[in-house]
Amino acid sequence: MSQSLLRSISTSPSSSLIRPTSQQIRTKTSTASPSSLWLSRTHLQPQPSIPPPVPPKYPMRVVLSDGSSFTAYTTAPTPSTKKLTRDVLNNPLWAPASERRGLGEGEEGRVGRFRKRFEGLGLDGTPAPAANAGAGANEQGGETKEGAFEENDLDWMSEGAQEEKISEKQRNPVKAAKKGGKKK
Amino acid sequence: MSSAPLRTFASSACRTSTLPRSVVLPTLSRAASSSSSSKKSSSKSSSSSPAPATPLEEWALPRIHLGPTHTSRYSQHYNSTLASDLMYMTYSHRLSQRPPKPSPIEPALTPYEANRPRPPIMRGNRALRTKTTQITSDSVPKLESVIIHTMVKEAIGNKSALLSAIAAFRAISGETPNGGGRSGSSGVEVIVAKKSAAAWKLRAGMPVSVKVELKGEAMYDFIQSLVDFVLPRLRDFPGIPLPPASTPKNSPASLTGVVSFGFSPTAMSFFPQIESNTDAYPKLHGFHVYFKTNLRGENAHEHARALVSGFRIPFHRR
Repeated sequence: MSQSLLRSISTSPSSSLIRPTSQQIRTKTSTASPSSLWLSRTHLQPQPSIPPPVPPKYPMRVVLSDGSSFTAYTTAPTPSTKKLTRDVLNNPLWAPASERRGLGEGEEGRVGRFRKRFEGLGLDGTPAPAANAGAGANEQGGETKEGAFEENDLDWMSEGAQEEKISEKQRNPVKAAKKGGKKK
Repeated sequence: MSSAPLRTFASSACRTSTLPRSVVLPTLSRAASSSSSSKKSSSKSSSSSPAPATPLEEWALPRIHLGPTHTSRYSQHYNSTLASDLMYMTYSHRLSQRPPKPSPIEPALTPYEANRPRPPIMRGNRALRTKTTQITSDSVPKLESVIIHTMVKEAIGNKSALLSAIAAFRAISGETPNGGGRSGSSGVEVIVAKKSAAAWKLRAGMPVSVKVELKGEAMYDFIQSLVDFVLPRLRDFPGIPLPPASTPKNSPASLTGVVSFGFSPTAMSFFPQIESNTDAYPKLHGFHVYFKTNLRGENAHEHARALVSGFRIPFHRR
């Protein structure tokens, strides 16, 4: 009796529960549904929702030191137009030629102070293109912009070459004589 | 053009599902009652009394994602000029024309070696280096992401010290986690200490640093604000120092094409995003920037630096 009962208990769940689950698993792995029914799998995607917010971005007109401009889109709302006095175009690190021409300091430093003081005197004789360009960058950007590439742009090259040919003695004979005297 | 096949696909799906639709629909719709009511309303409207169908029930939220909001100069610069230049500069004929290696003649395996994993091929005390990325028109040196990271020392004592860094990073990057439905934007993440260090009173699990990973257009926008606003205005900035010549060429660090450098707290104040209201940030932090590129293996570091310097970031030899 007891044995038969036990058997009935042990066998009955296996027949009712375990077999169907195994069948379900098999059907899932082989074919979930007729392929014609679910051609698209869009039903598997999550429900559409409103995406998380983004910080607002504001356009900012950036005017570079040479007068050219571009629009930057940043999270900064305030200056709608930003004028850069120091940027890639006049920094000696990016434009080493500007330093050589004496443009490097811009409005700051000794050269800048000198330039400010003697702006109207027309002292731009010897380092002509340099002083011209400097003044242009400071005040009248339009003038230099018009003739972006002029003939006298290359003057610094030729003049510089000529100047370098002159020896130290020729350039400053007094100093050279002094030096020589000291050495001796 | 791309949407056309999708549409046809969807329509075909609809056609096929017309037959068992009555069975499928109630299970699909969120509220079976709403669908049934809409059906009723439609049938009614066709027959006699036009019951006002509420638009809210009919309306389903479409999939929303934020498209491109503006063109970024630096990505245009990369695509129009830099990519081709870099391909020309970094192209290696030797790599591209290398004949396929003949299969090495291997000695017969001893019974010991037979079913064991082979040991790595060693060069010195290191395993053989990773495969060098061959540069072709498909795999031009390219930025994958830019990571900005800062460690806030005060955060060990009080967590709220991180807040200013989080706010600053959010302003600089303009990113939120999955913002605008754009996948891949991580947003500002707070990073937790992995190990405890008793000397600094640091325990594992403490939030100590903040990072953002920028990808795509946001990455190029960050480079723009870094190069056009920050770097030229730094005082006595000599450029980013190159690693000394003594750096080992086969070290794992120089085989992954990651260029990294750091900036002082003053650099952060030059970002236009921060500059517009500096007072909002109780403290400015220095930060590290990591440029992750797709380059690996031999010369990866040099090529990565060539790519980064293409974005007008100057390097100098110490």
